Amino acid sequence: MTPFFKISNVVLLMLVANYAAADGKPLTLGVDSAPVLQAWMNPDIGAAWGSGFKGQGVTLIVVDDFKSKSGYNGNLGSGTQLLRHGEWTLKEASMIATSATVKTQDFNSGTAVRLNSGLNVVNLSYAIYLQSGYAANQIRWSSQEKSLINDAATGAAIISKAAGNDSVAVGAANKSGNIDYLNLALKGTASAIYVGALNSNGSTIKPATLASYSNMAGNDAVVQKQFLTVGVEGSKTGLDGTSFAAPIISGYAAILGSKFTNSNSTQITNQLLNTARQDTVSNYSAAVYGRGEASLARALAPVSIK
Amino acid sequence: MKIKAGRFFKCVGVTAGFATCGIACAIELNSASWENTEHELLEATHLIEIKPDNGHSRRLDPLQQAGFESARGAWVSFNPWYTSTWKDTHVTFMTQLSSQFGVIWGAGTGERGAKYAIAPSMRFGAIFQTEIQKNSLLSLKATTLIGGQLKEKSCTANYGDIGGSQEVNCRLAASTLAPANTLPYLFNEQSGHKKQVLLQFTHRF
Repeated sequence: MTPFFKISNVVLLMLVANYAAADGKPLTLGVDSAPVLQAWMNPDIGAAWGSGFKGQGVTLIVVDDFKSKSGYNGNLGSGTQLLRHGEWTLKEASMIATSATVKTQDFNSGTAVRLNSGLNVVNLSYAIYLQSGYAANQIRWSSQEKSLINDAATGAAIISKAAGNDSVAVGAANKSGNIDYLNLALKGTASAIYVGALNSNGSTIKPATLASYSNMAGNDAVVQKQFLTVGVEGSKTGLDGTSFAAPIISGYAAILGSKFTNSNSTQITNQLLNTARQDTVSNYSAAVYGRGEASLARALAPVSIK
Repeated sequence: MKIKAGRFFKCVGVTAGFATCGIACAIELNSASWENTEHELLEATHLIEIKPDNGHSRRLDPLQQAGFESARGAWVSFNPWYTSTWKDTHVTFMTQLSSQFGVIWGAGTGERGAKYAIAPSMRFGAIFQTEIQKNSLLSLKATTLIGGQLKEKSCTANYGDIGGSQEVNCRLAASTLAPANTLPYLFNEQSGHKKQVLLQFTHRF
């Protein structure tokens, strides 16, 4: 039998400590002012904003929950708000790549994700779980996931995918025996990045460790090559989960795209992967951290200069 | 040319206008007036200032400690690019033409580093002085600077597969700006102290 995933299979990759029912009240994003470096952001972001563009000319697409009545309390620096999951991931990515063009698509739509001309970065902070035992090519994907998987395979867009919150290796079954098949489908593609969560932004003085809930790269060398980590400072924001790791990489990718305007998705993906740091995480190993902690500063810098 | 340094005084007073640091000799024009021949002009010329720079050189000093990490984590220091063995130095003279009036003239040496150059300069001006009461002088000095422009050179950065080799502003090579968009930020400026007007009150006691 070829399973077709149902909406009920979709799981938002955030820890629900702050879940709240919206009770029909409007959940609004609010209007953000000029970029301000927030406490949860890596210092690289402030240094990078300096005098430059911040994602201009790049389209940031967030596929997530934008319609349900479920909201989450959090604070990304503009006061405590009650927002839907998608509104949080959109807000987080937008606060990093403040000049990017943003588009949203509710993950219930099932329709193919349409890309804009130029560079596209797609944020996926959700998982699609099914019982283990199926090969990825046995899954009958909706047009939405089919388009996303194809974009990653062909390098048409950068796919920033939350690694998952089951404390297992990417692609492994969780305690319930379920596997995130979307993760499996993105394995080995040209422009997909799995994003795990660190418990803080790392530094050489104070290396970070993988958050207890975060999935890790695992022993699969292919997964390790496309796995990055970033700090998710849940104690400051009230928002935990690899759902809030992926938007950071989405923001980084958009900033890179606005600087290197002639580069393609695969080149930007590789730049983020190749410039990750192993010296800002504790006891680095590829099985845990993949390529290491993403470094926007290094990704923006030249290899050499004279 | 025989140079006579101006006399130093204990000064109590208020100085309005742009203050400059460096070695400065207080100026007092002789109250007696005389006919100036060429020899007397030389006799009437005083060294009034030796100053390290006109503003550009000091402005570049912080860059000597700055830099960025390359894509591979190596530290790229700006020090070799913005350091010079010789700092732009300005020497200024005053030639007294009368008991109340003198002309000011001088030159700056310029300065050169690997990625910048400060052009040599010349300064011209005048000073007017009057005794408003016994032991109290009021002087007005106005000068202008010609030259002294700061120009910065670009770098060639290798961004690897994502960007290849590109001309870039050295200081902004690791910023979020596209390399071509960093070039308008190269320093290309006139002297920071092009025109000066100084009003000074001096009281001797």
